[in-house]
Amino acid sequence: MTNDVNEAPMAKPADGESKWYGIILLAALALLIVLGIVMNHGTKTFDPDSPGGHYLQWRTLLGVIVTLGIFSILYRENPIYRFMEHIFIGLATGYSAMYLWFNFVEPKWFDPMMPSSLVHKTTFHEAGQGMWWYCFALLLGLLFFSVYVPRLAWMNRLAIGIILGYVSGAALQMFIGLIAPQITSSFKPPITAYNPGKPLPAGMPFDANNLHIAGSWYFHPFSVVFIVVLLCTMAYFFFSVEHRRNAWMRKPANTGRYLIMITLGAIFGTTVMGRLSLLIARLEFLLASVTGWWHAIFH
Amino acid sequence: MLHLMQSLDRRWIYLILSIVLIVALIVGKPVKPVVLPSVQSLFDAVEKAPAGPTDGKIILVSTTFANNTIGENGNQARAVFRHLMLRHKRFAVLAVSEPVGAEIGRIIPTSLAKRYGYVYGRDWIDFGYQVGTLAFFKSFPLDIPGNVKVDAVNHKPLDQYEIMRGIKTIQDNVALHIELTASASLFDWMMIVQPMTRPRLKIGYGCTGVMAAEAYPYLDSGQLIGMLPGLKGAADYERLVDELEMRLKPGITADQLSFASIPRISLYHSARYLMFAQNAAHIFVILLIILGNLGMFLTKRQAKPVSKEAAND
Repeated sequence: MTNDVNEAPMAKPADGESKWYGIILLAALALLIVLGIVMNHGTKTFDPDSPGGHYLQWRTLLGVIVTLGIFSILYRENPIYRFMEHIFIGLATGYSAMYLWFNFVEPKWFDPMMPSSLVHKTTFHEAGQGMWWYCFALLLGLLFFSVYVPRLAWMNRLAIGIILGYVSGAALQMFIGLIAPQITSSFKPPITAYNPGKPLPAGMPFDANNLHIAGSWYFHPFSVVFIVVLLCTMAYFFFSVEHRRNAWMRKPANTGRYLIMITLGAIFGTTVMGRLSLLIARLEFLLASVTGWWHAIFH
Repeated sequence: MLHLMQSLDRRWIYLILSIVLIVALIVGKPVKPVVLPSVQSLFDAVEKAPAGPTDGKIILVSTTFANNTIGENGNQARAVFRHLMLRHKRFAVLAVSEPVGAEIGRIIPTSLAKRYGYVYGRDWIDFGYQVGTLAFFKSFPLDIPGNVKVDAVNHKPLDQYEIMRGIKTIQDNVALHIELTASASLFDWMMIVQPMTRPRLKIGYGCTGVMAAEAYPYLDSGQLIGMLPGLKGAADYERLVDELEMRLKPGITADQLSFASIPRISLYHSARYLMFAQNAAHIFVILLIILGNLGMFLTKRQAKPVSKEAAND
């Protein structure tokens, strides 16, 4: 009997690539870690600001190697990049799990639940209070894993039902909380019988958005622009009326399309800016590391 | 040549861009950026926030980002913490669903505290890592000590710290919330926490450049009091803080403020210094765009007569 289930293909090394690469790289990393332990021998603190903090140099060296390894993808796909990528994902997952346990689950759930005779740590103020009813949280969480036992899989729905019911009720409230201020702020009158503007900053000749007409009346050109942009963009997404046959719908919709393109262009521009910032930060790290070593060796 | 202008191997572009950036980082100087209105708004909101030692309120700063966006969010955080410390605003740091952010949120204020005479537990406190569930966002605003329970540095109950005396709810005791993030965590604060408060909780936003464009509608609606978009926002805010520091401490020069090194999390240079490299990179990208388009237009111009002749044949 064949198994027809489609499974994700396993990542395979490129043609002609030795399977020993992974083992060699793992050995190199292990060597680096041993080197780090030797370098830090005798260091009593992991605070790099303390005198004689070799730990900082070792950590920086590791950071430089990993950064260059990740950057190697810019040249071409290679085993070093893949190795670093897997290390990063594994490290991030492991770090998150440990952090979650020691900074959240243990102090807020495990230690309060345990009796004082079983908890040795006394740093958490609720530790060892024997709040046994906290164990029900674990039972509820374990229901999610019942899906792996076909006979008990129905229990999974209990946990999902509770979460879904809770979240769907809150989602409506959350949606309104986010959107309602957006709707109210989109009512921008082009003409008002008062001046809503703030006092002008020094050096500014006039307020371009609050033009005085007569008496107490003011005209707001930016509000007109806002209304036009809003209506045109909404027209583009209004499909209940066929755009092709109705010119009064087609023209604003076409204008709306161009306005959306301008918005997407702005988003793309900020995306490029953001990505460059990240690159600059990494290059700054590399440069500062090399400069630091240069000064340490030659000065 | 025209072909090369349009089909230059991307690896050459990466190499030249790297060289441009490295040269800019070596020879660069701190720029003096024109401050964005959204940055000025956040600066003014912090200035006005009643979070002094006798005001009975604190400012919440959320560092929900990791090392991957340290170039943007890290510089924003440093500028914001410097401002809070300069004006002696009491603040609490937390990171919701971001373990690394909790570490960064502790390292930056700790490294700055000595310089500004800030004492942990009296002037600032670290709530540490919090799991960002719906239940947390629903209950945290109503009972801050009950949800956080212990601080992240000494693991002691919050009521043992001077700063937390009288601090109970967001409604009554939080003057401003500043969300420095690289994720969508802002929406949890806007959708759940903000509607629970009257008047609405003031929220400042420090985001990556990628996220900035989508956040402008929330500025317009007043849901955000101010925003720091990416490295540019950090540089603008830093300029305002530098000017404030030079005003408050007449002995300090601009050069002393340019390199506030925090090597533990790779924040070696100031945001204004990094903006020099950013500007150089932008000029390089613009040049590439011009070259690519020029190549395309010239190719089209050369191709036109040929196509006419071909049509006549």
